[in-house]
Amino acid sequence: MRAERPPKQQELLAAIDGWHANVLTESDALWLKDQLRNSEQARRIFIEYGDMLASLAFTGEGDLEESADILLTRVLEAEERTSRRSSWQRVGVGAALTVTAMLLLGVGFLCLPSAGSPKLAAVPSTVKALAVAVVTDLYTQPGKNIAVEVIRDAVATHGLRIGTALLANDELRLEDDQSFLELTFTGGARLVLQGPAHLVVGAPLAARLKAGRAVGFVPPEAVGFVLDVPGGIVRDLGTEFAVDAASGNTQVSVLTGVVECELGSTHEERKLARLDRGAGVRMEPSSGSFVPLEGLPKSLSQIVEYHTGIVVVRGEAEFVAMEAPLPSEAGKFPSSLAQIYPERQYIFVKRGDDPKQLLLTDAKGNPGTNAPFISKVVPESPQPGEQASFSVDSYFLRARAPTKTPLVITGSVTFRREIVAALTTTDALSATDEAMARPEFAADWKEHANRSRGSDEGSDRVTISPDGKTLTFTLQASGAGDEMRILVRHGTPSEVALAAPVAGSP
Amino acid sequence: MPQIFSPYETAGDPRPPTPTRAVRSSGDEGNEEEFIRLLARSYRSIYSYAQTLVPNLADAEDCVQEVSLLMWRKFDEFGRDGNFSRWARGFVRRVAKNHNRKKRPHYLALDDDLIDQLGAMQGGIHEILELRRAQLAECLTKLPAADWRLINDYYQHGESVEELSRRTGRTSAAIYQALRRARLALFRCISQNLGVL
Repeated sequence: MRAERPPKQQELLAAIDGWHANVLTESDALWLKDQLRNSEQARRIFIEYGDMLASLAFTGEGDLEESADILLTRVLEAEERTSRRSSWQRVGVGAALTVTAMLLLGVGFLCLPSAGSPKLAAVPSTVKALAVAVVTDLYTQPGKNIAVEVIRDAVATHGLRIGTALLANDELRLEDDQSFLELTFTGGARLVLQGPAHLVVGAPLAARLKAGRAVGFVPPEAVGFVLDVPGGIVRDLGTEFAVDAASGNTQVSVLTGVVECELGSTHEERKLARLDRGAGVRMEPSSGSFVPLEGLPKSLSQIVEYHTGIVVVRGEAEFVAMEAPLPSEAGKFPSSLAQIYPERQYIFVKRGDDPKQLLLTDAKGNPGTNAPFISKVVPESPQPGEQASFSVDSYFLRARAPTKTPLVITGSVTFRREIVAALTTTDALSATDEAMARPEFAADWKEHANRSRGSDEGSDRVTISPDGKTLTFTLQASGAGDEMRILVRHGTPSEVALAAPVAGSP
Repeated sequence: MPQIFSPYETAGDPRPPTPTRAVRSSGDEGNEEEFIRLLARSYRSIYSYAQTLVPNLADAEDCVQEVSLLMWRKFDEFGRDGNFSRWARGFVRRVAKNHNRKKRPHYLALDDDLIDQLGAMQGGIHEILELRRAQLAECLTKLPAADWRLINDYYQHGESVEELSRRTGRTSAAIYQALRRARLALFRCISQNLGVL
C-alpha cells in the first residue's frame, strides 16, 4: 500500500473522469482505487465529480424534487386508470413504482446518453408540473388555423394551444409567416416566434432556435437565459432582444438591456460580442467575426411589433419601437405617416361610478391623487369577470403633417389585447401624461402648451372594432398635429394562460 | 398517430378516482402517499449517489429502480422522524455492492470497503454538494460556445458520441476528448467559485 499523500489533482481528475466514462485501463483503475482508499481528498473529489455528472442532466430543473412529487402522484393515477382498462392492476405498486422511476428517468434525466435508458413513447401531457415552457400566446391571421407541429420523442402532432406545457427536447415548427407563438419558460423568460420557425425547447433557461425569427424578453430572475442559434449562442443579461435566423447568417439586435453573443466556432479562442441597447450584429462564424448592424433589420420589425403588443399596423401608420419624442421635439420628426410609440406598461386603473370613466389607482386599487379622466372606454360596461382594478399598457399615436398643408392620414392598429380606452382629447392627454408617458414628457408639454393636440376635432374619426382589439383612425393632421393615447389591457401572458383552465383536445 | 397533447383537466373536471392498490390494503394509501412524497424529494440525491457508486448509467438506473422497490417493501421499518435520504443511501450502498460483485471486469467496480468509505464521505459533505450544484448553472454559461453546445447536446439532448461525431464531422475520439475537457473545466470552475482551488 502506498504511503498516504495527496495525489496530484490533475491526475486524479483525469482518472475519475475516465472511471465515470468507463474507459480506464486496469492499471489506472487500480491506481484510482488505491488513491480512494488512502486519500480523503481523493474520496471527496470522487464524490463531487460524480455528483456533478449526475447534476448535468438536471441543469435548470431546480424544482424537480417538488415537481416529481406531483408527477409521481399523477403518474400513479394515470397508471391506475390505464390498468383498469388493461386489467393490469394485479401487477401492483411495485411495478407502478418501477414505471414511476422510469418516467422520472425519462423526464428528469432526459436523454442521458445511455443505451440502456428506458425510452418513453410519450410522457403524459398532464404533467404540467415538469413543463420547461408553456405556450402563452398564439396568433394567426383571422380566418386561418395556426399551423404548429410539435415533435416529442420523434412523434409529430398538431393541436398546440395556449396553456400547453412543453417538456425539454420538444420541437416546435411554426409554419405560416403571419403566425406568432409565445412561450413562457419556467425560468421566467418569454420567447416570441414568428413563423416559419423551428425551435427546440431546452431547459427553463435555454432553447435552440434552429431557424426563424424570435424575440426574447428576459426578466431579472431569468438572467442567463441562453438561446442557441445557428452560428453561435445569445446569452441574455436581462433584456429584450430580437434574432433573425430565417436565412443566411444570424442577426441579433438588442431592444433594451444587454446581451452577450458568442460565435459557435470550434476554435479555441472565444469570440464574444457584448451588445447594448440599440446595437446589433450579424454573426459570421466562417470568418470568426461579428458585423455591426445599423438599426433594427426590417425583417424583424413585425415580430418586434408583436412582442410589444401590436399585431399589425395598416395604412398610413408605422410602429416605432422607441419612446415618443417630446412635444418640443415633435416638429423634428414630421412624417406623412402616423407614428405609434410604446409608453409605460402595467398602469393600474379602475372604472368609476360612470363605467365610461377610468380612474388611476395604485396596485391595490386605491384611487391615486391624479385627476380622473373620461374618454372612449371600450366596452362601456365592465366585462364579465373583470376585476375592480386592472392594469393597462399605454401607446402613443402622433400624426403630424410634414408641411402646413392639412393632410388626411388613415390607418389602423391591431393590438394583442383589448383596447380599454382611446384618449383623444387634449385635456385627457394632458391629464395622463404624467402617469403614462416618460417622466419629462408632462413638464415639456406644459412649456409648449400653446396648441391643441387632440384627435377629436373636425373630420377626425376614431373607431374601435367590435372585438375591441383594432383601432381605426382618420386624422386631419396639420402643422399642430393630432395625438391620442391608447390604453390596452395589460396581459402578462403567462398569468393569463396559466390561470385559465385549458380545454379541448387537438 | 398518438395524441401527445391530450386535454388538461379543466377546473370543473372531477378528480380521477382514488387509485386502489393490489399489493397493499386500502388502509395503506396514506403510507403510500408519504412514501411517494419522500421518494420524490430525495430522488435526485439517490440517483446522484447511485451514479457515483455505479458509474455506468444504465446500471445506475437499474440500481435506483431496485432501491425504490426495496425501500417500499421496507417502508414500515422506516422511522418517520428519520432522515429518508440517509436511509435511502444505505439501500443504494447495499444494491451497489451486489451489483458490483457481478461486474465484469471486476477492476471497473468499487469494492465493498471503498463503497463504505465513500458512503461515509458522501454523508459528510452533503451541504457542500448542494453548494456545488448551485454553481453548476453559472459555470455552464462560462464555457466556450462550442463546449457548451457539446455538453448540452450530450447531456440535455441525449445525443451519443457517435451521433455527435456524425453530425459535426469530428472523430469520436475528438468528441470524447472535448467532453472530457468541458467536464473538467466545469469541475474546476465550480471549485474556483467556491474558493476551494
